Amino acid sequence: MGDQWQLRLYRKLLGAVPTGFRTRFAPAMEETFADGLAVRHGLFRSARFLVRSYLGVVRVAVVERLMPSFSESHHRRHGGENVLKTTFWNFSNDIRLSIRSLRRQPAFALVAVFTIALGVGANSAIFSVIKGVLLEPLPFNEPQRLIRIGAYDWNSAERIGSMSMPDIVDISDLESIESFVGYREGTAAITGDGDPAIISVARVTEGLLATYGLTPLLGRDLRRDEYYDGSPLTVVVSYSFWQNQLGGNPDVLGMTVQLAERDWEIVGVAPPGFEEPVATKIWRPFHNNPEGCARGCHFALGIGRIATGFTLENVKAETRTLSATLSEEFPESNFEKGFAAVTLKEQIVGDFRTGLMIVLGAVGVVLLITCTNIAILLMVRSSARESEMAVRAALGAGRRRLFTQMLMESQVLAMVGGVVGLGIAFGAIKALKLMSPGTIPRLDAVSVDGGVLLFTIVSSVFVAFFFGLAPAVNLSRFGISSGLLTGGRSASGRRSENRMRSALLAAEVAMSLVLLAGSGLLLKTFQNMYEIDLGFETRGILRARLSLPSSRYDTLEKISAFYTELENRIEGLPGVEAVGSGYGPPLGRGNITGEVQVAGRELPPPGSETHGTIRAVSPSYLGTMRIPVLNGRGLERTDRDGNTPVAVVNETFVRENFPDEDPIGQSVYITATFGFADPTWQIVGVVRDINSASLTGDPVAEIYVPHSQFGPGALTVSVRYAGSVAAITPALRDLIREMDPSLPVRQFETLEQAISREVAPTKFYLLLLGAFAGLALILASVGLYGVVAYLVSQRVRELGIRLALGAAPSQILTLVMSQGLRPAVWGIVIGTGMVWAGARALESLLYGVAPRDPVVLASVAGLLFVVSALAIFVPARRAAAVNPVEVMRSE
Amino acid sequence: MLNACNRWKVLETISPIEFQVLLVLSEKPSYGYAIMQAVEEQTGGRQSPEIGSLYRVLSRLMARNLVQEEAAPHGGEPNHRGLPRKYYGITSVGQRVLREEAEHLAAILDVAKSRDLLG
Repeated sequence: MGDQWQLRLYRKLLGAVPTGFRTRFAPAMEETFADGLAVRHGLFRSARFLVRSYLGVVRVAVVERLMPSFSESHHRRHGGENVLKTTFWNFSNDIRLSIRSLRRQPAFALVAVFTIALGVGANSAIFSVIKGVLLEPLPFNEPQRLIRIGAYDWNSAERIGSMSMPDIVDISDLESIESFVGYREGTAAITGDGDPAIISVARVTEGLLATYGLTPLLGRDLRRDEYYDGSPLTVVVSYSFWQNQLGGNPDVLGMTVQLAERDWEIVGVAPPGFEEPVATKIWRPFHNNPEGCARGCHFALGIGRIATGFTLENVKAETRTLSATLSEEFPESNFEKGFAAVTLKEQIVGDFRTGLMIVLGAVGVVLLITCTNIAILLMVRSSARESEMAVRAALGAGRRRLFTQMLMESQVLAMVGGVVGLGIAFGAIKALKLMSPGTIPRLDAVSVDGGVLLFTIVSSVFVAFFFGLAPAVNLSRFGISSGLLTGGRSASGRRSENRMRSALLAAEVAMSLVLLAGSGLLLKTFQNMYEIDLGFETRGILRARLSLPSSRYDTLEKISAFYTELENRIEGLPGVEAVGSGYGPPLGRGNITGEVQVAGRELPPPGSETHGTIRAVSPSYLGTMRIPVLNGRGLERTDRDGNTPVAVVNETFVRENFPDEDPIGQSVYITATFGFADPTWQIVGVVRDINSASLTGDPVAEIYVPHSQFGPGALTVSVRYAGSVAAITPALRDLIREMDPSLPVRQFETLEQAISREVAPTKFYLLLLGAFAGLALILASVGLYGVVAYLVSQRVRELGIRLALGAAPSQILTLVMSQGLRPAVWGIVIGTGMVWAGARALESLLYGVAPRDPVVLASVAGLLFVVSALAIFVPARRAAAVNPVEVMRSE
Repeated sequence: MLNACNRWKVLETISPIEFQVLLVLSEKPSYGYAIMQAVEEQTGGRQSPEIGSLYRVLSRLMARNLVQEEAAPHGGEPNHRGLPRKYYGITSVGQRVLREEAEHLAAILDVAKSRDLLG
């Protein structure tokens, strides 16, 4: 058992101590705790020390708020009567009484504490995720002023795209923008000493660190004069790169790193933790020729800092005016193009807001179910304590005193449950991090801190108040004489109490149904996502992305020769069925999209152009991916540089550009190129649509062109294999190394892994909602079981008489079952109504299933009914087995 | 004798645990864990404050100027973070109050002895 977690927990608990006391004593208390931890021996002594220390901090946190030690001293010194102290004394007495009362029924206390712990723990864990991901500010200077800007088409506002360099300059000149930096994230091969590797490299414009409000740890930021072709090759490296790859060498400035087989001089080291935009290790300047690449060349996104005194709305207004001006001034490149600005935080976590808020809502429902369940258990218990309360009332305890005492019992339960729940929250956060690596941004930084601790305390108090109120009201309003006279046996007969219990049970079942329906819908979504027909055979594909350095592979001929040779060699490997290479693989990185112009037609008016995404592929690619050719032919080995450039298009491309014509033989011009070919292509075939960009998105217009006629040097090699992927991966890696030892090999990935990555967020939400729904189901059945079992125990005499008068056991069974199932059925009806009314909230997380899907709703209602019936059946069977003779004798 | 006791009581009242802590610190300045151990030792295990209670006691004593924070002695063992430990020492007022409380207790003890309660 290491010391770390005990100390960490102690430190977290110290967060709950009032600031004044904490500032003064927390370091010393932590030091004393560490000392104690270091010298304690033996399991028992260690455990005793830990429990005493933890409870001690909780006590300090509470007592220092009620009665700060300074004012306590002040009162004592001046001999004044301390009202607070008296109050506290009464408070302590109440706590002691409550503990004594609960200790008399350890099984009840244990079940109650465990239930509260689950509810509070799950809530604290999810709250810490919400806090860490959505609420915490980004770790930059004045992060609320950071925004991201991207270009969009006025006619399709949902797609945010890249901007040209002149656009970036124009935006940075706006009055509401203090600084603006353009960037393009990507990867590059780092070579030199040791094994070649692929790292994340971003190309940026000047002022990157300044925009984020940061200064370099060493050296300087990139400068304006380093952004043109022919300027010195300079880079800024990240802190982690400096530490891990360069050994934290303090003389790093002036050293060089080899990127894409060229030497780059390190001019700066970024501060620790800064790796924007995405896990970036090296930042290098955009090298642009301002003459050659103007407004038509869209390749960068932008991050900016709002100027002091301006707001996001000001920026939006200014960019609207700018885009209108540019649209008029440069219609060929900027026609009806706008600039969308969002806060950087919204950009990072915005996609997850809805999902996480739904999870928070779900876990809140779990907390309500927890409260309801404990309230039911306490009511059952309070019914059995009527005699005790009546005696106490007869001895002079006022209604208020009884009420306070009952509430205090629930507070004690909630506090202990809260402490255990905090432990559950620690474990749950760890599990969440393991469960979703990389799915949710900023999840790594989530932890239990003072805020979460406060949330736990507040939710525990809320829980205690909520579940303690009903039984406390119920018991304290109860008259003295009735309890004494009936000996506590008339509880089940009291109609109002029965109504309250039934209402709580129905509410619990209804809330459980809501959670079950939510997870049922997500389960269906998950299943649908796995069953999506992407338009090609996804099983048995292994792929690896290669990037040939342009310094050595500078002609189409060299690039093409390399990939042809590689494919030939891979085909010879055992277990390989087919191999093909392509730029822009399905569910992968790398896309090049351009406007489509059909030869012989007039140019479409600005704003009504169609677009096509170019897939540069080897001749065997379509066959390897099993994308069927529907018309004409596929690509062939003879389609190479020097021959007529040919292309194969997909169904969407035909629909958009040749709705009433045969596309075969037509020539199209695409405004996208890697600079190797004249981008006019003759269509020779039509293939089926596939889902390339995402699992659930609609197919886009695609045009497959021969890689040997188009380039580029970076391709993804896809291998269709039979047998084990573990056997083929090393053989493939060795083969690539053999062909070019300095070529870095990226991580291999199967297409199934890529699909898993796509469904990971759905899986994350499904697991959470599923866990909560399971918990709700268990709690609801425990509640039903508890109430019916209690009622049966209270009605033994009545049931015995019924049996003695000739009732059959089956009639007793039916009677108890029907009475127990009534609130459950009400709950199912109300819950179904709630789902019907609020299901649209889940819509954005669903795919292929309606939020009010009748099959899902009927299934969860059926499941809940069956589970409820099972929970009630056990005590109902006991009721039917009552021996009337025994009952009469005991009377 | 009782008159004398009352006189001290008006000046300052301290609780048994505060008395024990002052007694420990009257020997030499000390740090948290050592104070806890010393209190446990000098009361034969009858008083064993946990950390939270100890620091509330120290807070009260500091608020009344009976105890103050002191610099760690030169060459003292560092804490778990490698930093100097937090030391606490008794003030001159604290010394006086401790002495008065001890005398008060001694007076009570004399009464007990005079009534043959201590054999």
